[in-house]
Amino acid sequence: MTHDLEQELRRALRPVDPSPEFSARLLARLASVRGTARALRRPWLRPMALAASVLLISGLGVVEYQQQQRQRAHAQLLEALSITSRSLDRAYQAVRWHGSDSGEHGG
Amino acid sequence: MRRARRSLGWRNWCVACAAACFSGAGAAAELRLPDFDSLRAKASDSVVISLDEDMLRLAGQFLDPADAADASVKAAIRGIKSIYVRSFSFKKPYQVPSAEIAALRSQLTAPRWRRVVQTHSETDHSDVDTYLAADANQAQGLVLIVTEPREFTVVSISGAIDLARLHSLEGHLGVPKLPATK
Repeated sequence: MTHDLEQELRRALRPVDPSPEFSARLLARLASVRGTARALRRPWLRPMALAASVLLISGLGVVEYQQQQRQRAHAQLLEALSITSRSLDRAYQAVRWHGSDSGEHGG
Repeated sequence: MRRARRSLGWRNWCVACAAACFSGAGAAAELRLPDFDSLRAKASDSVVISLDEDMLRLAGQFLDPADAADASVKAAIRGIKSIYVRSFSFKKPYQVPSAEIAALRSQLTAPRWRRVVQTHSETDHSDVDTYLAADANQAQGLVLIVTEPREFTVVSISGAIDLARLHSLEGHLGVPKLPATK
């Protein structure tokens, strides 16, 4: 009786080779678990992401500031040139007026 | 070895001299415009613009070459190193800043500077002084001092200046074309 039970147990617990599908699934699962574990083992990843975000935001800020500077310089240039042109015109007009005035006196 | 060191020293000395000469030339070209603080305090409108070479380059980047007005501005500022403008408008007649004008005129001396236009109109009580620094081919510096009963303007431009182009900008920059006199 005990012998039968032992035989029965041995048969039930005999080593059996896994099917190829099972092995493939197991290996795939293991690979994904390893990947997650590796990612969790990178403590610098989060600060790096944070630093990259800060860099990106400050970069955008610098670009915006440069754009504003350019716009300001452009507006100042146009105003400076219009004042210069107007002043030059005053000089031209004055010379023309004086020239024609002396011409009248001379003639 | 000693000779090599001596020649290196000589070369450094030459470079230093050249740098000093160039910086001296640059300093001579640049005028120190007074701030006209006394006028600024009393003016109803004041324009103080200082555009050095870097600022001019920055402003030039904003000009669209496809646009005709921008293209003419770009052509006008080509070769210009700096533009300084001080312009003040008043609601009432103001006191002409004689001391500051004298300080400015003391810088505008021969042989570099020549007063090419000096006019005084008794009719509209205005004075226009135009100083020019020029080499054989082109104007290298321009200073305009315009004194009117309710407006005072000083413009200083350094670099290679195309006067005709500058004058032709009138009417292109939102400035109405003034009617010709007589």
